[in-house]
Amino acid sequence: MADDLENILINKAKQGNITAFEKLITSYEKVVYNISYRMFNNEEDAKDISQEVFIKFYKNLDKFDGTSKVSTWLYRITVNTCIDEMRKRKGKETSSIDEVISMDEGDLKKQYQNDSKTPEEKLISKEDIDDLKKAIDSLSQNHKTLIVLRDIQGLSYSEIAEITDCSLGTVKSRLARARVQLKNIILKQKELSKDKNRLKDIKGERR
Amino acid sequence: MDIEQLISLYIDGQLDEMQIEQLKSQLEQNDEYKAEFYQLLDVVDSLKSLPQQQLPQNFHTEIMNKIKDNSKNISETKINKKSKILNFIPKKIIKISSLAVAACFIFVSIGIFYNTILNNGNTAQNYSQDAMPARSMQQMQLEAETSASSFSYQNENTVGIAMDSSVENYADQEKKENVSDKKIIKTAHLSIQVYDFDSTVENLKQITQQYGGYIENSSSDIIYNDNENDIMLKSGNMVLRVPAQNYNYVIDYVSQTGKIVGNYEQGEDISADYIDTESMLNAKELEKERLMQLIEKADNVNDLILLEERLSQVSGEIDSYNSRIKNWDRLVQFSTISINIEQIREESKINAISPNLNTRMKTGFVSSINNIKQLAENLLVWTAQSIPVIIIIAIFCILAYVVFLVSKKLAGKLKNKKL
Repeated sequence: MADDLENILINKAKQGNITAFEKLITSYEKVVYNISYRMFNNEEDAKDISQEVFIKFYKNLDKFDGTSKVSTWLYRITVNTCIDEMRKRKGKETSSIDEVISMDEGDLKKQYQNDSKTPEEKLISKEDIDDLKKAIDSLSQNHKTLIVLRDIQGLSYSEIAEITDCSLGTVKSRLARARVQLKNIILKQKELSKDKNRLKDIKGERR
Repeated sequence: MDIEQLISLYIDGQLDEMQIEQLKSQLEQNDEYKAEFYQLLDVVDSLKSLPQQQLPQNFHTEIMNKIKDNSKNISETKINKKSKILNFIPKKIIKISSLAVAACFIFVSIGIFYNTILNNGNTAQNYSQDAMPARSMQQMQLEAETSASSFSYQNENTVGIAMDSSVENYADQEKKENVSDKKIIKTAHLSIQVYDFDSTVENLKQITQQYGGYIENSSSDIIYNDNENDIMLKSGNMVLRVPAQNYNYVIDYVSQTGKIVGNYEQGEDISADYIDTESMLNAKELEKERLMQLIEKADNVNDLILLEERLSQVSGEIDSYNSRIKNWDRLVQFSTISINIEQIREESKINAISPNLNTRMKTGFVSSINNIKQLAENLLVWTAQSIPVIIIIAIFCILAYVVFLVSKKLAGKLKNKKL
């Protein structure tokens, strides 16, 4: 959307014109929803969060001074709302891959060994998309935010820096760490599924 | 930078050539790094290939509904806040006070009504002595005698004033419209005293440039030199030419730079002369054209000589009119501000105690006591003045309250009867 048009819409919306506000948000709905979806990995939460984001945006319109882009401001609200919600839920839910995974045969501590793979061997096949989603979901808040904004939504480093209120250097180093963390989680998942299969095989042999 | 960050930045295309070389050599040397590199590439690729989720059905409508509800809520809460303030005051007080206000309003309007009737009567008849005991008979007679004539006189007068004012307004309007067309040469002569001569001159130069003007003339002299005490005082003159629209700003600035000891401003209106000169110029130009035509047609040498003489005379006049107009334009466009700057010795910071301090203290004390006394007197007079009004308002309030109580009791009885 052209910046001029966006400014006109913002000014009209500030004066209480809801149609202008509607036009303004239409182009951002999908991205806001997708960021929320990747942060929570479920549709219900994504819907609730994105609705909350737009209401917050509407309520705080008069605070928008035009120093940043509308998109940046909106994504910033999205990320903050997601993180706030996660903090609220922290302690209520415990399903992290870093902890203990419940299996049929009882609890099994995860052991991760870094097998050096050959370059040809694909780490994630197309069938593993669900595992990838789970892996993203188990990232820490900050790392998840960076992965979602950069690798899934394709935002620039400077935009991310503005959204997360960090310096460019911090974004670069954190993103590197986030990617490594994600890769390690995926490797752990692979190890676990191997263990699982092995246990199943042993079970079958016994019968 | 560690290898992980290098890889990450490489994926995003953020490395320069040297860093890429560095990464390449590290990868070639270490197989683990190589594996890590491919794994990370793989992770990022798959993240990028994750499909975008489609918006759920009615997503937009739901958001807009919520926002519409929200905007209503916002306006409602504003109203609620107001009503909360009203709730805070007991209902009884609101009722009583509204009755009292209504009573006061009636009282005041009755008063005004009677007053106007009495005043109208005054123009035709005498007041009865009972109605206005405070007025002296003599005064009333005088009023009665003059009322008829003064009424008509006043009337004429007011009409006259109204006409005058309308004429003035019209003239004002005309002035406003014409001010922009008028050719006014603004000139100001200011004399200021400053402590720091050089910096003042420098500042004036800067401000003139800033406002699009220029220095026409600048000079300075040493007027006092005391080598022993290292004191040197200067005096100087500056002539600034600034665009007419910035004239006031520059004058303001100059006034703030030092102490003004002399001030002379002039606005010379040259509109009439300007227009005259312009029309003269036009006439001369027409004459020049005519002369040219005649010269072309002339057969006789004598005529030709005469015509050419006249032509050169007319051309000279045209040039002089032109230069006069140009000069005026320049003078009108650029106002002249001539400043006389005189440097004075900085006054010592601590002044000796003035000999009449004692007297000043006494006078100050006495005048402040007098003020307080005056204030207290005024307050007492005001209170005494308003006592009757307060009593009347109080009576009305009590009456209103009694009426309210009675009506409430009656309502209660009616209810009981119905039950």
